[in-house]
Amino acid sequence: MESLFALDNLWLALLLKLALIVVFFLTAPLVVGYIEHKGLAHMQARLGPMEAAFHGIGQLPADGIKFIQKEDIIPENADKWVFSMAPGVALVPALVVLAVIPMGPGVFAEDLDVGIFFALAVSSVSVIGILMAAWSSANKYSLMGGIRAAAQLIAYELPLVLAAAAVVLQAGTLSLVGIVEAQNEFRLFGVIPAAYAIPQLVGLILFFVAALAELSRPPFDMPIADSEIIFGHMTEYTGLRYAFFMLAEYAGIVVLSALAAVLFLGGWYLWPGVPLPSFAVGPIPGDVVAALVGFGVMFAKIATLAFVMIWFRATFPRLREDQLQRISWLIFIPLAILNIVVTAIFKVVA
Amino acid sequence: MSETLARPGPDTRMLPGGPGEGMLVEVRGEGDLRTQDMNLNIGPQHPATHGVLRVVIDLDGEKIVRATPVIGYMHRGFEKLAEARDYRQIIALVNRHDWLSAFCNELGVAIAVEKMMKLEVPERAQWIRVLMAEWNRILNHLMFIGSFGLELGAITPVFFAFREREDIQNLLESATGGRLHFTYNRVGGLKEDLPRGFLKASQAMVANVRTRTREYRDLLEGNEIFMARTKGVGALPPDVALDYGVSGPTLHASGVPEDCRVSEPYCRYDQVDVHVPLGTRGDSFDRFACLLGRVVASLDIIEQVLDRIPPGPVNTKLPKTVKAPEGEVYVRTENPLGQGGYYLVSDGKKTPWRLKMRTPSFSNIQMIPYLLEGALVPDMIAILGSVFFVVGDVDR
Amino acid sequence: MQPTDLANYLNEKLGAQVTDTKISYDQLTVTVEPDALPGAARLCKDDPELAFDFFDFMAGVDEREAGFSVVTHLYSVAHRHHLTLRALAPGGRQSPRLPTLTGVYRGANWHEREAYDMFGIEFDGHPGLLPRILTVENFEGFPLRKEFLLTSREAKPWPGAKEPGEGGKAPSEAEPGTAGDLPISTEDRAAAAKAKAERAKEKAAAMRTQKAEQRPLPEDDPHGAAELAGTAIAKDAAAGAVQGDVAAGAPGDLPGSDEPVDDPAAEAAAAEGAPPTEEGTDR
Repeated sequence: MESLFALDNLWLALLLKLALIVVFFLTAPLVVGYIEHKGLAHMQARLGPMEAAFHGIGQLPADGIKFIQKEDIIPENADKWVFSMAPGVALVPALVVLAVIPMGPGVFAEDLDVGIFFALAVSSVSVIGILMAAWSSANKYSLMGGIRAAAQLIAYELPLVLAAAAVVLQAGTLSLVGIVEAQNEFRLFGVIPAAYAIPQLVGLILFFVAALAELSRPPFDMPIADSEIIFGHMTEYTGLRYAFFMLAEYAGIVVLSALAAVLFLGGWYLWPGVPLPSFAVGPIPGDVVAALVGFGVMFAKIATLAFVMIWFRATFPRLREDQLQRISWLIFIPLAILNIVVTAIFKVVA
Repeated sequence: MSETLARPGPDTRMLPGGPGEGMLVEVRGEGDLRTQDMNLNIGPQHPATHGVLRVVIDLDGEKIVRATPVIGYMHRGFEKLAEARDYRQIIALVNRHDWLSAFCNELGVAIAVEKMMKLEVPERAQWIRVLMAEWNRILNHLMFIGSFGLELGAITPVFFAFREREDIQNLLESATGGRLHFTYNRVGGLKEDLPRGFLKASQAMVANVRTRTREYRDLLEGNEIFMARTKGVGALPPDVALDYGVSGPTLHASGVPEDCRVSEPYCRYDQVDVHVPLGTRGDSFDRFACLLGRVVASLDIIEQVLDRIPPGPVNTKLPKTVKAPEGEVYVRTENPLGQGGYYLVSDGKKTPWRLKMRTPSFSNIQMIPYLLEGALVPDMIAILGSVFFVVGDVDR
Repeated sequence: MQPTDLANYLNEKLGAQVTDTKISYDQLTVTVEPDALPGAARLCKDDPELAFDFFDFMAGVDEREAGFSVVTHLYSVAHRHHLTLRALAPGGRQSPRLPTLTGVYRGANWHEREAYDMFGIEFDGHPGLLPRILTVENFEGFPLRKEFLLTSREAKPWPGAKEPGEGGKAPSEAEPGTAGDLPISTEDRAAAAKAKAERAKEKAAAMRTQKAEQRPLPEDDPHGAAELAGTAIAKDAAAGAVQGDVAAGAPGDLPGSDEPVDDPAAEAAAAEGAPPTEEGTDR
């Protein structure tokens, strides 16, 4: 599929895509952050931010401005260059992955043929940023957080990738746009239109839980357990660098939720088989209308998945790291491999 | 197990300059591959230590090799201060060492002085004392229910627990004037009678808190992750517990049914049914389950007491100067955190000669190195959270 | 076992090592020879009739000229009886020493450290009395000894030592708790209190008018806030702690007044010894 933003001038198209990605990258995490503030608050019998603008929607932009004007502190014993670069290394991969994620029909920067492979590979680079931050902080608590992060993030890459691999097997293509189109045409038992969530239910659960662990979200937030190791690798960070880490976490939520929506929940289609409205509304041409509706559907799915992640945070205590390692290696990976085998059998037989 | 490197030895050297400066390393020969233990300070400022408790641990990876609690950061010299105060003034003083169970502390001191002066406390005052002590117990336990979950990562029950605490504190404020430090006891009874409508409000509050304990059961006690984090963690054998002088829910979890309200009833506890929940394994889960059980048991006691408070005076007339005769007495009460006691030595003057405060947290914390050795760091958090203590109680 | 039976049993088992048994308020205190303390504790713990398995606490007590004694309180969960073992530490007030009980009861460890920290009693055989458990590492002195005065009481004696209407004794001479034994009639006390309050009020008013005459207050500062600017209360208020009238600081903060402002009516009522009310309110 051709991107909506493919203009004749290559450089202009590049600039436009870059601008749109950066705008999305900076605003979507704010929405997720606001959902977290208010959702968590109401679940905990309190109100959440109410002062900044209307019912607190200005809270996160205000936080951003606060972080920007803070003093830049680097601990004396810290490794200065590594310390300074770590937030960037953790943040940029999330930005880059947004280039391949389709948010609607034609609403993407590039439809790579190896879309899902590219997305998972690039998002793994942010792990290095966490390790850099942990080691260079010259703080025993950060070190402990980094060691826990290293073990956990490596352990949960595999279920993530294997669950995605089963979807790729079923769809027959690595391209993310192709996977959405394949879901649109998929019929369960030849009759019922269904997203891959139904046949790949195990895969969806594995992908979602592994995404939680990749993002260090509760119940897998051992690396940043705030009652044990203060804040893990982020303990010594303040100001803009800390804001980048937080942005990386929320952008990660957006990216992985978007991937889950694309892989399992039918992407920008409200339901597979239900076509998007592509009639012209007033001066807006039909494909733009479809793109806008598709974008809305995708954003709703991302917000729902983000809400479920926040719901998990409110409910569950955190797992000990040896327990979560055991879950990953002894339960999730065998399950994921089994999932692939079963998918392959069905693909060959049916 | 590798050697600890908290203190210098013959082969140790300080790393000069650069990252890791000041770190103590041991220089070993070629071919000798061993990891170095890390010496970490948990506290005195730490989210999980309930205040200024410091635990110095030697870590081998994530396993604790040796743990040493360091206390005294909150030592305020209560026992010395008590020697310079009138017998009636020490009631306001002992509010403050275990600030979460203020009424129960006051009760102990008041009973001690009344015992020495052979004062007869009116019936009504005794019954109201039971009522207030049980409310205070619920307040204390709600705090620890919330904070235990918080330390393990369950960030929601603490808000619910504090919502309940607010309601109960409102209720107690209507009677005593204080939300935390009540100073409601007096030598010979209580400060004044209960306000009109207190008992009805108490009744309503009991029903309210009872429904909420079901929520805590679901959110915490019934949560699989919580169970995985706490079952089998920090198992305390009963003979070790008694040796250290551990008391309260920590002791009951190990299966020892020692409760002052049952074995040596004071006030009117002999006329009330006191249920003491017991555990079997003595691990963190059992301690938490005992805590929740005690909340329900206290609610039952309050319900029993509400109908049985007789009318009458609430305090006795004291002489102008309160002087306890010479001698010594030891009075122990079942404070929410454990067994609290006051050993009062008097020389016949207006101030005590010696007031020794036997605080439950002091003995409970002494037992912590026994539990911590061999545990993982997350287990240490679970253990610290489940051995209920207040640092003011430890240090006085 | 009842306290009397317990006393007899212990006398029987320990014989000459028991120097004194006392039963007061239904509680038994057995004083033993200092060297016999670990043996007695071991007997208490191991003997099935006694079965003192719960180590309650150990406290030091200042015994004036005799030195310091250490009181160990034990309890039996099975038999539900108490025992207080007392031992007077030899060495007087200079160097009190006692054998340790950590070999018998593990819980004695920190209690002995606290006794050392507070009184200076050394325990032979203790795994480590230092670093000091409750006070700071470089603390000098032993706080709970009677010669160690409370700093706040050195500066100003305990106000409850004197009843209203008494006077005369200098602060350094009056020990807390020993003054106020003279019988003074209530009428005298009330009159004395009233007189004292009146004097204080007059003196404070005189000082205030004197100061006001010396320094006329500026027009924009009628309450004299500039005068009070340096006082602690004013600094707190400026920091935003207290909203309201800055000038209404504590009486002691007014420059020039060195007497507390007393309410003569309340003083008189207290001097008459008004009892707490005996009426209870109805539900």
